[in-house]
Amino acid sequence: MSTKKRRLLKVIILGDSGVGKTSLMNQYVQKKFTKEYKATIGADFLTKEIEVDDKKVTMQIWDTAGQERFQSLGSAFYRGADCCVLVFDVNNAKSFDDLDNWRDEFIIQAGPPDPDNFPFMVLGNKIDENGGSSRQVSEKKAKAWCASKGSIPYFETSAKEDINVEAAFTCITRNALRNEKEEELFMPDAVDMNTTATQRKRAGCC
Amino acid sequence: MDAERISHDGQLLQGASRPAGIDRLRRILTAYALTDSEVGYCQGMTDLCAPLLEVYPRDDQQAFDAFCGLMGRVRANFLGGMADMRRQLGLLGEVLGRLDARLHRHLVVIGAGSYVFAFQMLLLQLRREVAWADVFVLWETMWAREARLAAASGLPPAAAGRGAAVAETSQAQPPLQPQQQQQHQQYQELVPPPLQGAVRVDLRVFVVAAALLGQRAALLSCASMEEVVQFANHFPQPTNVVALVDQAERLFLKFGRLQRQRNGGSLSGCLRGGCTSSNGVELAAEEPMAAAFAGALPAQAQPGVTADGGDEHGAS
Repeated sequence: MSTKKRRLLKVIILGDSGVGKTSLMNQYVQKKFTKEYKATIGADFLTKEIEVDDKKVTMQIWDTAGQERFQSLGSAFYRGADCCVLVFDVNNAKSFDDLDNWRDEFIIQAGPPDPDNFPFMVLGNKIDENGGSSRQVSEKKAKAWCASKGSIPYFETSAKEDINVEAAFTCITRNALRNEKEEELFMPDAVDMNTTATQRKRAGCC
Repeated sequence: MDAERISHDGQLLQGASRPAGIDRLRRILTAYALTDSEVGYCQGMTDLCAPLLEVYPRDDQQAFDAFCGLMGRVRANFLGGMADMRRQLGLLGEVLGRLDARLHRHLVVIGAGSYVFAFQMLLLQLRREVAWADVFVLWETMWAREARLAAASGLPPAAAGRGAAVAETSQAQPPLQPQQQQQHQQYQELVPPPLQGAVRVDLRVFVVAAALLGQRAALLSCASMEEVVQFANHFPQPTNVVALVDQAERLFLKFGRLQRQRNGGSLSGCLRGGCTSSNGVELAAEEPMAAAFAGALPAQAQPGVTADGGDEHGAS
């Protein structure tokens, strides 16, 4: 057990400004919530060491600026991501409509080798707001979108009330680890970027 | 608009006065968005506006005018595509590459050579990195020095080259109310005409360079891009912001000298002139200032500048 290597999982949180990306990250990692987060400019990350299914994992969770204008710079941090968490506010229909853009942009910028099987996750946040009376996006609608994008797992969360936050991130970890295993099975000699690059180069030459 | 997501810095944004302070912020930022639809509202503008509330604790009009003046300097930072931010990040890399090759090389090796970690510092003019009480000392010192350097060189300060865009976009707006019209006119007066073909005095980039060099040892001890990002997001507050600007000015002049030597003493498109540096040293008469702008792009440059300099004078 103790000789097992600790895996590093890079998680990117994306979504419109004000949907609660920073709050979700802080609730998960530091178990605290405050309404007073400053708007994120650029990017920041927190790490958390966990153990899932007997595997030791260091989660590196990246929180990026949500305003569209900053998107092109935030993408500098997408590289090497193991999974991507798309967040919207269930009380804000536009933030849900924008999920398509965030997903597409991530795929373009991060360039995962197998985009169709890349582990995404969708979180509908702020379910606590006004006791649910201001909701604009139903669970059914959100789940339908997730199903149409290749069965993306969906969780309804409240960073404020700490509802489903731990469960969602545990699920993210499992999916990322499973994806890692499948990648290993798929191309056993090409698990790091350099090997892949060399192979590609070789293929180009011959 | 998320005016409420402003830090609790300053008396007017704390405790019982916070709701009123946030209302004022919202009014001023809304008025600005109406005046300048190309920029509109962007996150970070609250950070720039908040200190002005304290300078003009009761007068929204004056605070608005001052904010327009401030935006005049940094407006390009907020325009779509972030082309000007990329240019500034590229210049920052070029400046550090020239003035502290070891530090620059280290940052490149660990994957932080794009300097995106300094994005917040540049965008918000170090507003979040310095103590609240120091914000205005820093900004005013920086603006004064920038004006002096610009006057000495005959080149425009960082603000120039944006008037046309404001004038164009404002024509497409619905008719303004009398008060808005007055504000708009005052804003227009703050906008200098664009100077085609000139280069700018980007002292703010050198202030950020000075701040980074002040933390050289810590940056050299960062072993990864991630560590640099975390360090930058919890940047140690500079203790003396005037000294920081002094240092920035010295870096600016030194960078200019090195660029001039590298380019064999001639730089096309730059103006001639002499100046006296902050520590009273008389500089050589032959285009000492002009050379300092070698990393800056022409004002009419197109977006899409690469992160490693990008113009004809860029580091190879």
